[in-house]
Amino acid sequence: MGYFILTNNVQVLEEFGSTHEVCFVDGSLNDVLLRARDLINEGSVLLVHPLYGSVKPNETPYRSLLISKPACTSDVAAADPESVRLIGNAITTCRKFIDKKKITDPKLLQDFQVVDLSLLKSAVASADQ
Amino acid sequence: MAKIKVVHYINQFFAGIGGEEKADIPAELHKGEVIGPGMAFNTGFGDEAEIIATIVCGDSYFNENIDAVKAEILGWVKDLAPDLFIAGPAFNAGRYGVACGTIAAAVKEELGIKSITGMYVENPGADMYKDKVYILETKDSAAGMRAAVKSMTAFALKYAKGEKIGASCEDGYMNQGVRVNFFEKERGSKRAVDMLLRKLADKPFTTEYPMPDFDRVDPNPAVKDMAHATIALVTSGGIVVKGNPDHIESSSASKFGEYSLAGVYDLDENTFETAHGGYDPVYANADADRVLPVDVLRDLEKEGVIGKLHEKYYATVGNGTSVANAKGFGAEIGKRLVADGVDAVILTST
Amino acid sequence: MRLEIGKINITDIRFAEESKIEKGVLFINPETLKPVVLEDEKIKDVVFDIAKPGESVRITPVKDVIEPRVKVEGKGGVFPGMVSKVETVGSGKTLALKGMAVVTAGKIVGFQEGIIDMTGVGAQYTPFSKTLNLCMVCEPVEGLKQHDYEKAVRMAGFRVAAKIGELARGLEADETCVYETTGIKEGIEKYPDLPRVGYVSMLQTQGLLHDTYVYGVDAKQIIPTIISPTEAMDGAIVSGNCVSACDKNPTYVHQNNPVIEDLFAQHGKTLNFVCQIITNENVYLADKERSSNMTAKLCRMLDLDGVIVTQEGFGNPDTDLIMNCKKIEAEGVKTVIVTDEYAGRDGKSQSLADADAAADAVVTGGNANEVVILPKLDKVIGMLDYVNKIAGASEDTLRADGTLEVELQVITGATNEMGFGTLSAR
Repeated sequence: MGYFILTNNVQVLEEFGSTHEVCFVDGSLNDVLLRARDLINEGSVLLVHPLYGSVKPNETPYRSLLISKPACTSDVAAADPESVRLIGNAITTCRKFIDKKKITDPKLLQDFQVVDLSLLKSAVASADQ
Repeated sequence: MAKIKVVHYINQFFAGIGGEEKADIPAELHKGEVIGPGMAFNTGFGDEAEIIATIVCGDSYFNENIDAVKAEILGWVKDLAPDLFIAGPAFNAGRYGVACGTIAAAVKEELGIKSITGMYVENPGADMYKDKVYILETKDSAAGMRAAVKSMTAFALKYAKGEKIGASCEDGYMNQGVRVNFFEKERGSKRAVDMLLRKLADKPFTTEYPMPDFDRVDPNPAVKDMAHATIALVTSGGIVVKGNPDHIESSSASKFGEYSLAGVYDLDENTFETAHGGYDPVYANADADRVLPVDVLRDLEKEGVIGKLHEKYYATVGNGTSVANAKGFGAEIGKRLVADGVDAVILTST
Repeated sequence: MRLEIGKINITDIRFAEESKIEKGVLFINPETLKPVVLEDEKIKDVVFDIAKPGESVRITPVKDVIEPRVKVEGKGGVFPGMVSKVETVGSGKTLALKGMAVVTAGKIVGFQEGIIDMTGVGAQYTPFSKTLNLCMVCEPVEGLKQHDYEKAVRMAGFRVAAKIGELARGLEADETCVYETTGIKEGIEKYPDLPRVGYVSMLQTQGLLHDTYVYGVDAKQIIPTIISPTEAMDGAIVSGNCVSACDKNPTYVHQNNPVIEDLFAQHGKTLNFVCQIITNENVYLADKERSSNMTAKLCRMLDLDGVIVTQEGFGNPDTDLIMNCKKIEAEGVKTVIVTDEYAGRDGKSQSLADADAAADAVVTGGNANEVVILPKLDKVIGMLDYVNKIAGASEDTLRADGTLEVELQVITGATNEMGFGTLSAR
């Protein structure tokens, strides 16, 4: 199945940039979710759960998603209802966590990147099987 | 410590004035008097609190003159400046329950005075006000007076003294839709086993987290021929004719309005505005098409994409409006649209 | 399968020359435990400390909590596939040191959470304020990658717990409990009139810091299967999960799985406890579909009448939970699910990230977003970096008077989704 990686994590870009199609979002976790929502509305399907990982969305600044390319066969872009539901719930869930101070410690940011990459890798492993 | 001062609200029946035939008596203030169930409350309060005044009002009178009577009672309560306001208990008396909920919530919200009421869970007043004011759960008839007074007294004292209010199931009030933590007696696994055994035996059980209400409606089949369809606009965004002639409330709407679009091609600030109190009205007031897109539909009409725009539209305010009211509006609006031969509706919200 | 658990009640832990258990007191020579940890060259140093209930002590950041046990009769050893061979466990006799735990701590990643307060408000919320805790804070060698550090600390905890458990070998139990499951046919014959009940445990399996192991296998690679609940008691399921302190399932909770205990308490009386079904919580949506399909099918094939489903972690496991519940109910098997809530600090937000009307019987471990103020405590075992900087419920976690304003989610075990605690919400 044709899919691509939507991410704002530079380590994901480095790891998969040469082997997979990666769409890099220069923005926040929320920006990634909103971008995914727009893509879903245009016919893409989510392949991973948008709230993967137990690191709270107001702590980790990173999110990486696997998203299918929209089917070109249908003339009307029909959004996948399950994807719409999941992304909607995810955006709502993230909103209920309070905003905290932006994390700037490079070591800490790197840790978040490593965990995000690891979680995404487990999804890519499933997708590429 | 000084006694906690309480003002008590009851209807004509519990004041011993009479039944339905006396339901139209106006509100009366009885300073220094303790009437009907107030006696039991006072006994329950012991040395800690006392009723300093009782307000009596007929149920019909209250519900038919709601704005005026509310203002009158609020004025009295403000002057009396009690520490606590108690309305009812109303048990399953519908209009009494609505009156208790209305006045208890108003005292709390508008005067900032702690306020409680009590009624049966199916009383329509419960659904309308349980998220606005503490409503203690009672039995469905006055036979449950003793138990109601007991739980309301205990809660009233705790609340008035500023003690921490626990979860709804601990303190006997109706769940306000706010999740509150507390420690159960049994651990979760034991509760799960007990719940499963009840479920397996087809016995009633109570979930600890009711799933959100899924009132889903299957969509109608798509409109085949849009070019000849009559399309109506309906909104919960509060767009009304300038001046809000039907006085649709800015929140907790009790009605909807029907307005003409005959000859209207574009909504402007001189003719339309929003009655909605839940969002910044500046942009809606400047150009109400932003909420009720009449201009766009007129364009589509001209281009032949749709047959025509229905000449009437319906509006209410979705801000805090009870599900029961919203359902009622929907059913009535639907009936009128069908009668007028409308093929499809665009619902807009904010 | 028949498993006897012999309980050795530990009433105190003391550092001493000779490691032994005497009259309920565990004497430990940390110098003899050190080599057990340092046999892994990835760990540079380890510091042992003791935290007792009521002491003004805060342990953080907690990685895992483990109960020392030793297998004295029957096949296999404790933590099969991890520190013992992959022999099937769950029968024979196992001795457990009750009233104590081994607590591993260390900053595996910068956002490593998990607080155990031994006194004050926080102590009410964590079950591990009631145990005598032998804490081990591991320091990694320079430049060690997060994956390797996690594994090193995880394994060191099991080795230390096993080593301490060995001290109980030959001791007489203060109390013995017997847990016995039957074969399918035998159970039906023995309890023809009792409802057949299973336990579906969802294991956190998403990747680094989010893993669970069954007989040494990373559970994200399994398809749902059945095990005897007594296997879990011997440490067949262990935790590699370091995230979401309040609702992760430490190894201790797998060993003392409360759902298993409470189902056994009713076994043969009001229900027939048939088996435990283990399933996973993967990232990939198709995996979620496959696993929940399999789980529902197993419930049907085993002719279960009812199941309890428990979950682990925040967010996406809600989707696994709801999928499992919906599909199991659709097979005509009645379910009760155990979860916790993220309803926002004000309790007004939607509690779960997913929902379905089929989930009509829910037990909750409470709202993890609720704010608590933790007092300043005299001693810290571990380091406060995370707590002070990230964990907070507001911009300034660490308040001027030294108290901490945090959400319950940072407290280890506060809203456990196996029903380990009494916290709930309405």
